[in-house]
Amino acid sequence: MTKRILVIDDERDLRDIIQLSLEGFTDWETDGAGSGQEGLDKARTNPFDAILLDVSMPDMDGLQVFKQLQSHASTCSIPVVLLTAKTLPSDRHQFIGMGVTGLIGKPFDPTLIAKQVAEILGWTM
Amino acid sequence: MNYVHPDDREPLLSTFQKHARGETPFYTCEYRLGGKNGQYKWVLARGKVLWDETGQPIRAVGSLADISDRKQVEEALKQALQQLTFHIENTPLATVIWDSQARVQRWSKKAEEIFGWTEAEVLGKELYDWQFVFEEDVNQVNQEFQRLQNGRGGICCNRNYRKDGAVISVEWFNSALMDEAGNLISILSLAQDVSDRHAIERMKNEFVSVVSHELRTPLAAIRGSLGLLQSSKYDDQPDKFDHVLRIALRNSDRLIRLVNDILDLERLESGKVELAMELCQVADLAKQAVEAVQSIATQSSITIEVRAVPSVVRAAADAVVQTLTNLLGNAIKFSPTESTVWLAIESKQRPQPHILFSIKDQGRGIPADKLNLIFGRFQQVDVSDSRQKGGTGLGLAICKNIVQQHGGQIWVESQLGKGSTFFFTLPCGEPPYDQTDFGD
Repeated sequence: MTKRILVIDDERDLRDIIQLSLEGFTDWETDGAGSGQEGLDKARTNPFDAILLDVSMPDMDGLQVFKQLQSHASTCSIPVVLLTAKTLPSDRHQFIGMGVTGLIGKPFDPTLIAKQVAEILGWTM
Repeated sequence: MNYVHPDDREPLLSTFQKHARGETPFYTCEYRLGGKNGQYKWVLARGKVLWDETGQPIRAVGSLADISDRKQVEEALKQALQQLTFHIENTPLATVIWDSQARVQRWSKKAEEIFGWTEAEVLGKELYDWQFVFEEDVNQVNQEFQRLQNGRGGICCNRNYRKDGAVISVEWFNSALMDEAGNLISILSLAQDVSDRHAIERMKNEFVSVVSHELRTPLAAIRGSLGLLQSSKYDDQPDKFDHVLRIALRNSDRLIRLVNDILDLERLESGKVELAMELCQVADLAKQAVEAVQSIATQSSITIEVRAVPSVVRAAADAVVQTLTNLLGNAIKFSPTESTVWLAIESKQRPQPHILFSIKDQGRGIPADKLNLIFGRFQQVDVSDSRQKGGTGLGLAICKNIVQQHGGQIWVESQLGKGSTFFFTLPCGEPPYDQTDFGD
């Protein structure tokens, strides 16, 4: 089965680059959401195998989105990988402690991001 | 009596007479007594008059002691105390002395100035007898007091209340005086109001955190798109290749704008670069600004109508054009297509002669609670504006800075859904210029 990934990032250009990077190096399908709310709506109505989630977003930031995902039966089991410039060991510790599956630092290498996601999720490419 | 210092004769006589009248059991008096060499010595006379049965004084018995040394020490002490008091009252730091029970023993003029309470209002009061320490900082202050009780002074930064209820940040420099047994005698605290410094630090930190996010975002997009292009994954898909290339270009432009704006603002705010003032025809300034924004106006089919009175102003031409360009650019960005943006320049005489610039649009308007905020750094009405409208969030802060450096004012009036008008003034401080000097 083809894997389906949802990318939630308020920066349209970054979202496009992430989606193109994932699609260019794998056979995964991606979908994008430009806000936390849009991401929640899409995650609740469509099946996804994983969510790539930007942390710093206006209105509802990534951590709030993550909590909402966890509190919903339909979305609580989808693994979430955070995209953040905060990748200090203490930040990593805090995020992983919250139940996030993994972290990818910004800026990212578009040729490696798919591999990083697969490693975090234990998928074979 | 002739040997007694003239200033001391009267007090000596009156002390003695008092005793002679039987009002005191002994007489005791300090006075200066002249010696053979004409030099005076301080002496202490003590004694008693003896009376006979009929109540007549017979004679006086007593002693005379040389107390010059003691008087010298007293004088030195008095001078030292005066010196100390002078310094305490004149240092720019507030001086507070507490006893071992943290009761106020001394409260300098500067302390009155910083905190608002007079010495009379707090003297003898214990630290927590009045609302002085900010509740959230009580633990911290207690810990500092414990350290002082053990003879260890230090620097403590905490929040205090002023008498008017305002909360201020105060830096306290404390030292403890201990007795030989190691018990606290008193604490000397020198204090400084550091609220302004803290506010500036907070603003700087916020600015740095916003800037770092604003810089990282386009950088991540540039890094990502260039990496994708180099990977050759999309070489045979021209649409996607082109899309990625455009992302790289767009974000480079965004980064350039942001870096320029940050540097402009820093340059303006540091005051390092003085604006070069010259006499300018306001119509010329308007013309240059309109030319700069004409292409984006045309793209959205927006008409710019200019009405400028012929007048001159002493100003930094480039900076004023930058301000006008910024305000016109905003007006265009937030206007519906096929609408009009008006630029009006008028000459006003009241209250002081000045030129009034106004830029009016028919855009979405600004909510009342944002009207004052938008001139701050990164304070767009909507956080997504910087992406959708291509702004950096620093434009109005730059305009405000430029206008203020000219001694003018900038403000905005707006109605939600109907449009906004931005105004700014440039003062004409000098007498009217001969218009003929400025031909076309």
